[in-house]
Amino acid sequence: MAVLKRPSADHPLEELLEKLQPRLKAVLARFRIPFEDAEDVLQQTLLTYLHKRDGINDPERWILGTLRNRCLMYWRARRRSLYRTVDSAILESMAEPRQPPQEIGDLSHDLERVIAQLPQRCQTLLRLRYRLGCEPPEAAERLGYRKSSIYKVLERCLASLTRQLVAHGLVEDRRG
Amino acid sequence: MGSGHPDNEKLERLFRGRLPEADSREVVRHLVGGCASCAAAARVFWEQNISLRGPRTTGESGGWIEKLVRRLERQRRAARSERQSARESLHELLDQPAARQLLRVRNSRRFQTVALCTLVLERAFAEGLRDPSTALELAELGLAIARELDPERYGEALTHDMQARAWAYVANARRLTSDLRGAELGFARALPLLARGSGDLIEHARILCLKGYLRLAQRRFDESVRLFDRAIRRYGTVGDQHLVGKTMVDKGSTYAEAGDSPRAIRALRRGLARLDAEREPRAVLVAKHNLILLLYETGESEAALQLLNETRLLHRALGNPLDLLRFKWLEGKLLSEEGYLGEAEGALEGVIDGFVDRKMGYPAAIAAMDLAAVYLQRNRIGEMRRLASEVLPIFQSLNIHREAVVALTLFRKAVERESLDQRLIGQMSRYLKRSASRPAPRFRPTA
Repeated sequence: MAVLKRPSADHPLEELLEKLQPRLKAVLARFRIPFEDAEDVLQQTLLTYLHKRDGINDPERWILGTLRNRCLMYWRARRRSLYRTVDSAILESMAEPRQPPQEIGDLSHDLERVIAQLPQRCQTLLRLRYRLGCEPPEAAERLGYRKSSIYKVLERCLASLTRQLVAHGLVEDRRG
Repeated sequence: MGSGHPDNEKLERLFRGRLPEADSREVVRHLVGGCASCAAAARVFWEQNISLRGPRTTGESGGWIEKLVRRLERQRRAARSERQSARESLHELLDQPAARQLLRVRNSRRFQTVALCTLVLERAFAEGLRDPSTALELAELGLAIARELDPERYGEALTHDMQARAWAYVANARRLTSDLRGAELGFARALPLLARGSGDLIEHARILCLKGYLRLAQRRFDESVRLFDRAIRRYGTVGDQHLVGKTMVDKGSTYAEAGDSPRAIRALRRGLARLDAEREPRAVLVAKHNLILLLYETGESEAALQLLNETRLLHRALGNPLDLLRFKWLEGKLLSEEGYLGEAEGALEGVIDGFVDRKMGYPAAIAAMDLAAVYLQRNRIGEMRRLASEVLPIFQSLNIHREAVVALTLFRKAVERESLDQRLIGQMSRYLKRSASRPAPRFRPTA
């Protein structure tokens, strides 16, 4: 299955990119990559191309296809980072030793109200995580998931939780 | 922040992943508390930064891409120089004993390049067809190189790609040495690295294919086909029809192994139509070889024989001894089916000797079953006994699992008792084919 080396297409990079430039910009715009990150995303793609070009049959399609995929991965990484931030924030708040009992009680109550809006399997998993401190492998055992799939399930539930936090809007603001 | 609302800047930074931990905790706590106005503000930043519903970015209009290309000029020259010196570095490295190879890789930048890593891994893959143990050593050497690649020089994304590829090749080599558990662990290392890589669709597709082979070896056929389909889509996106074709051929092999001959033939024909014979003639050879067998098994003998003649010419042109041996095996089986038993006998005897010389226990044992079937048809009892008593014990010294050795012993006893029949030979043959990819439970002949 190894890709045999083919002579690199005689495509000087400058000519190739001059031709592709409008489409590269269109891809970055379509995926809404923030400008401050767009250069890095494109640079990584082009650097990869420079080192792998011998195994690439169609440089134009490779660069465009890989850039699109890179953009998708960029957003996937951003979402994962946000979910991890939300998760860590909740776990640390629940475990904060200097918090008065009343504060912890309030947090538990508020969290339960949010969790109750989620799909059933997420409710179960997140209650195990935040109330009982179950790590994913233990949660997998309790809920009958394979250990290899629990992390994916947890990520989906954290996504639901985060979406619920911003979709909330309809609950009366207790703080007035 | 106290009991007040987070300002918009903090909310935005949370969703952009740029808020310090302590502040993140406070903002999240506030949102959990159910503040409607802050949730509404957060929704805007969610859409702009996470859910791809914000306004399209327009970017700076002034030639930033041209500036980027100029900055990449140094890397372009470096990449070319690396490729030019990689072959020499490869020979120098492989001339060393294994322990010294690792030392050189760890201590010398000359052996810490993407180009060298690529060559070593390609060599590992090619070696898998001949000698899986050597393939594994080479893949592990490739992994050692990948781990030394400098992210400052290549960017993190490319170094992750190479590490992912190396792990996938280690996994593949483990599969070839029948360490399927080790292969699974290798892919578990590869995939997270790939997720942090460059997004190279060929890299993704390649690793999907390798995992597809593992699933095939594990006889998880549906999963294998799904993996190959995902790889096909990626190869198609980058416009590489040859690799699309190769993967279709792999898919065909999966269907064949699963016993679905019509789907297998369709996939093989579609794959063959896309293969570039100039680019990789052996891929065409493998596809035609597998198609011949299937056509014959489904009763399309004329088409099979026609393809056999075409393939013979291609084999002679390529001249790979192991491929020629396998082709001779195929010829022997077809000659046997067509009733040319004398010619089949000669061919199969030569094939068994060839596999034994190469210490390939399972193919030798499976070919011996084909020969036993011919002897039985020709009522050559003496040759059958010789096969059972002299040749079969040789397989015990080759890399055959204990249960397969027990099965061959049962076979020998059946020969001695003259109770051997075509049904038992067929069962043995199927059992040995399954055992070749993983240890099978004890062989139990059915009545």
